[in-house]
Amino acid sequence: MHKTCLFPIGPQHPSLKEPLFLKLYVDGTTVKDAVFDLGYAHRGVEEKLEGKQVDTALHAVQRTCGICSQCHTMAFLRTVEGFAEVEIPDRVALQRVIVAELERIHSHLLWAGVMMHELGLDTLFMYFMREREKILDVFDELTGNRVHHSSDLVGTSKRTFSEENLQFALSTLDSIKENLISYRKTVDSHDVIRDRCIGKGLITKKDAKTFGLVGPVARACNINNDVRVNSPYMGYKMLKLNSIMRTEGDAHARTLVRLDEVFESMNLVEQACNQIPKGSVVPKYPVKRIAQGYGVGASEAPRGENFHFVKVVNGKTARVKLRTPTLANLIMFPEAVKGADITDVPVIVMSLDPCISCMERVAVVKDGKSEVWTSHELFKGEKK
Amino acid sequence: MGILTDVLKNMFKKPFTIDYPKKKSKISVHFRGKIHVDRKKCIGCYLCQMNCPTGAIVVNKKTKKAEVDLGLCILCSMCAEVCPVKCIYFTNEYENQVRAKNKLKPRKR
Amino acid sequence: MKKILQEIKKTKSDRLVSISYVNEDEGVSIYYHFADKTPKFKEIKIEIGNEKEVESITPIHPNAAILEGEITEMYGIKFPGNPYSGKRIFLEEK
Repeated sequence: MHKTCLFPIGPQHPSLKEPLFLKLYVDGTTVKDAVFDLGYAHRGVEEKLEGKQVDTALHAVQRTCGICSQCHTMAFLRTVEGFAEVEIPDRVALQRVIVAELERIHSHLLWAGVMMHELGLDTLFMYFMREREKILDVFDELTGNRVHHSSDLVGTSKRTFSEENLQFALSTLDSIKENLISYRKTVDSHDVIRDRCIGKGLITKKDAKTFGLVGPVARACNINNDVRVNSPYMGYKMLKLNSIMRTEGDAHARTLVRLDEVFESMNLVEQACNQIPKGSVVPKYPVKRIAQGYGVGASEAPRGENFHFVKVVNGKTARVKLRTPTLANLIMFPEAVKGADITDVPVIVMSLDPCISCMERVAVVKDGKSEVWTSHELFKGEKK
Repeated sequence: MGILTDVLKNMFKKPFTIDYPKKKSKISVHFRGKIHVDRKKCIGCYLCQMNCPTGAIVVNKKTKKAEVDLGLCILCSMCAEVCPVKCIYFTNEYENQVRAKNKLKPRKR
Repeated sequence: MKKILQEIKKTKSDRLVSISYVNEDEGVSIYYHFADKTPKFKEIKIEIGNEKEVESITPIHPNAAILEGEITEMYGIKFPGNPYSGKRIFLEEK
């Protein structure tokens, strides 16, 4: 019986985007067991969202994550406008969809760049980042900020996108399309990428169904959990959409699913810009006073299904619960890594696309047994 | 051969990066930079203080005008939407770094 | 409480989405949400008052392990039968 030895990666490591502690139990160079330790980016977001007006809570929810900020807006607004029965005009619905699809493109290009960096191909990493930089300039024109957009309120939107803004967005997408087609051909045919990704991190269809996986990880195993197709919301009711599916279930299939979704999102932005009605948005605040009620709602983030539960009592929020897609896929991380070589571990973990800051946002302990610092105390540097 | 043609094309072009801080990049007119309160128009109605998510904008008890703590502000523009006399607006400044934390607080009046 | 657990056994073909802990005026409630083939989510609510132990549903839905482990760590409710109970997930070690 061989003994296993502990091989730690992290919590701080140059190849990780966010702090994450991987403990691998290794025999020779084969991984026998893995344990994932979390808790390094925990900020207490759900505790800060109690006792606030609904629009104020919306602006705090958006800042849970930097890469996927518009998907939290869409889920929160779908919930609140659902149980309060607020109707939104067509123009507002399509404006929100344009920002959400552009955000999906920028998140997948960032992921593709870091994946190529894990494989050691730094030139492709720089090329993907160059294309992504042009999309961030489009966000600067449309919404006023490069990452945290904050361009929506309950029932309405803060500003109207003019004709020139939409033409700038479409011409930027045209200018990056040719380069992206050439990079996708490289990922599909290059020998190094194929040898290091095909057959690694295999997830079977039966496992994906038992554990309830979401997002592109499930779509690479031929299971469709896409919220935009199963229960359309806001502007998606007016657009035609195809989900990208594959059957192999390994790291190469997950890469190709995400790169193909970039082209599908470009198609959706073009459809939305052509269908947007003329006129302007009236930024009246507040559109309707919300007093009581609770509800649930989901939206499709770049990593999967994002679920919110909101309860309002006497005009202020009493409980907001967020269940992000990385938390749903977390149970599969140790299983996908068992039996692989140590050199395959960064490729497998990166192909499952963890977003750690979305996941760690939990509430405070009410019985006073452990210490939790709020953001005011952290800023002042002392505890009361 | 696919990626090699891209590399050869890019060898004879200008670099994509900008030589910061000698040259600054272009930002749009709508960019949300540092926040500014026009104290002559402010009426001290407390609406901005009630709607701020972090408690950054506070009405001073002596002068009855609003002032902003830049360390807590998250640039969400809720105060600018809610103000009835529209005295809060965003400038285009994005270089707000300081060497001491107390310089981010409002001046004592 | 046993009647509601019978209802959860009927949802074997659906996908468990989330488990939430909510403080209400009458006591504490736990909400279970499931996704089936329809556009809306199915909701099952349990009111537990002042009790501290609830039976775990991991034999029926294996992905409830980490969702119940989060509630144990933050609020102190125990779920006997859950493989994650007692393990540290998000907060610091003592």
